[in-house]
Amino acid sequence: MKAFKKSITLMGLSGAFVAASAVAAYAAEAEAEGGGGGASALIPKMAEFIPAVLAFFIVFMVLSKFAWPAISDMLEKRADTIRESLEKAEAAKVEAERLLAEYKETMAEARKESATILAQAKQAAEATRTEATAKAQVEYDAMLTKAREAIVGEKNAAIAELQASVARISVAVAGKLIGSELSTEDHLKVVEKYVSEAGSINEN
Amino acid sequence: MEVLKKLPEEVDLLLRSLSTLNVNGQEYKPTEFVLSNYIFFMCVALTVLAIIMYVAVKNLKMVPDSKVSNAVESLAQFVRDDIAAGMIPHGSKKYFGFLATLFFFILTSNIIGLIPGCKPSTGTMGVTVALSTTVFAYFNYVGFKNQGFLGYLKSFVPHGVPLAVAPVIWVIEVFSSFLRIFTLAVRLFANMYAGHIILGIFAILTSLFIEPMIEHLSAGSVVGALPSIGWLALMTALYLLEVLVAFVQAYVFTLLSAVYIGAAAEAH
Repeated sequence: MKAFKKSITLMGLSGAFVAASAVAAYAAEAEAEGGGGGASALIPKMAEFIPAVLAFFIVFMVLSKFAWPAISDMLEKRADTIRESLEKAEAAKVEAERLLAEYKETMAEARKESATILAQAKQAAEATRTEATAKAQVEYDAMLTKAREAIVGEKNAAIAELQASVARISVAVAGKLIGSELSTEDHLKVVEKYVSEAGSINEN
Repeated sequence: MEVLKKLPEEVDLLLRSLSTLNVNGQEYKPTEFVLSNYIFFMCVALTVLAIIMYVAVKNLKMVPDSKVSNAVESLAQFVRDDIAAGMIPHGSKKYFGFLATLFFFILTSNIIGLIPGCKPSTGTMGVTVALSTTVFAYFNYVGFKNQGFLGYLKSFVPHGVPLAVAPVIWVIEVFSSFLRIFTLAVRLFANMYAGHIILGIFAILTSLFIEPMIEHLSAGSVVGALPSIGWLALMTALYLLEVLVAFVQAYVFTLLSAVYIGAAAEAH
């Protein structure tokens, strides 16, 4: 509104000056018209001067009211928006860089931690494996010993049984051969003695 | 050359068509207050300007999608930042409206004048003096308002001038300040007027050489019409130059007005 009043004041002042100029130009124009010649093109014609001044003022008033403030505001608003956007982008970039650094640091720590965990796991696995192998070896040895003992036991039992069978058969055979029977107990004693001697010979 | 005999007559006709006439083509008389040809085209230019401005303002957006709006905004920004802010160190925003109106008024008039059959309203002294007088009134108003009546009158004499010669300097400076009305007006008028005369002469030469061929087609007339191609090429080149001149003159007029306003706005 203030600018509008100023413009009105300006219009008044300028109008006075322009009117004075018009009078001067009109006098010159009349003189040139009398003199004629090409120089008349340089003399402003009143029929052009006055409409042009009025037209300019009208255009100035209209554009000052409706166009220039809107365009000027939009230019400033856009410049502000661009500036703000750039500032925001800059801040976002700084934040992104900070986050990236943080992320890299976290990643490095995680890698380090995972490497430690992996090493520990390997170590634990190795220990478990060693322990399991040792345990298996012990069990194997125990089983082997047991098996050997069982075999020896079985073997001794078989030998003992064989010895007993041989004695019995020998007594029977000897009895039939000599016709006289020894008492069974005597025969067994003889045979056992003989077999044990034979067995000791075999062992040797 | 037979064809060139018609040239003076055609140039006279051209000059007559470029002088101020009544809009109906009759001779202009200072005593009659009728619509002249230049004022008619000024009205055309201002109507076009009004439409352009309406479209531009209506389509103003944060992200511009209208070519008209974009062009007007770019030119307005050019006036605001390069002309007003460049020449007026402090408070240039106050003068943006005046300078932008001046720039768009002159530019539209100049561009309309480039359309074949139209005339630039800036091609007559009546309009250019009206603009320069308005500028003169405006920068003096700014000077008196900003520096005070006596302060502004005193500012015509630069600092450091001996007191004895100060009155002479003052008179010379005031006189040169009044001369600005004339220099601004003549610069714009002469550029537009001369540009149109040259374009007109090349157009006349093009048509003069081609005329015999149109009237009577023969091998001789076809050969005789060949220079028309050269004249047409020259005219086209000059036409492009005139498009540039239309912008440059609007820029120069507005720039000088900004310089005068800037000088008047602050004591120096």
